Amino acid sequence: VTSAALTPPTPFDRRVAFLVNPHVIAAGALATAVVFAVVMPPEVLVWAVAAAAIAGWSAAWSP
Amino acid sequence: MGTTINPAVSGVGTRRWLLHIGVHIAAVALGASLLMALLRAAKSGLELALGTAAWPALAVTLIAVAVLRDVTERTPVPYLTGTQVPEWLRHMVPPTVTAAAYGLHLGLGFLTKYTYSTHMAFIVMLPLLATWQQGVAVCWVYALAKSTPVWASMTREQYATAEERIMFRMRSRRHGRLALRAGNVAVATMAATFLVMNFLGG
Repeated sequence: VTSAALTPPTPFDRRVAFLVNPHVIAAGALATAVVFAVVMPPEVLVWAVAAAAIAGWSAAWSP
Repeated sequence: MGTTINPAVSGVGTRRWLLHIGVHIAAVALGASLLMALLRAAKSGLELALGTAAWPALAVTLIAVAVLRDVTERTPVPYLTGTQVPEWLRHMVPPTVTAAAYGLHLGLGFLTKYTYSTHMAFIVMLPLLATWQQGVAVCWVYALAKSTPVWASMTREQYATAEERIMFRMRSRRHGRLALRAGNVAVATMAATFLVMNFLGG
């Protein structure tokens, strides 16, 4: 199957495609790691929220 | 994940579809919160037996194992590998019940196959939060994020076309998957570093 064989994307498809795009999720995770490495937030709550968000979001790529 | 859950909670009108998504998200949060309660009890037991550093030490060890799994793909992790939510359930009960059951199952985390090391980091940090209310809030963050593929697939009236697009992306974006794994390794490693510095640093 090629992308051309798929039904054409709707405008809504295009708007939300980034939500299930591995490059976007990876960029978010890497940016979080870099920012946290520099800032080192002192609260475990901040770390837990970041880990929870990235873990959940990455699950989009665990079929 | 979305390709497993979506057919079970979609295929109906928009309002009912939204209800199913809401039920699914709430159930994921509930499942993760139940896991947190178990882990908080385990942490209390460990502290009584081995001292306050026991849980952070175990947490760092588990994150390290998960990071190794992300890097090597062979390191064993305490998840039911190869297991997904029970397929038969969707044929036995109404979609709302299926959405709740699948959400609860996925929220517990270790009853389905391993995803990435950030899941382990998220789980082991839950008992270290100051209050259980904070933990529940974090579980809701996880539930909303984990349900992304479910609500993102509302792009179509027919689920099959949305699944077709998701599956195409999964097959064709190998570099994306590698980058995603690297991103998860980076965040989980930073989380472990934070735990060492703040809970085991003396």
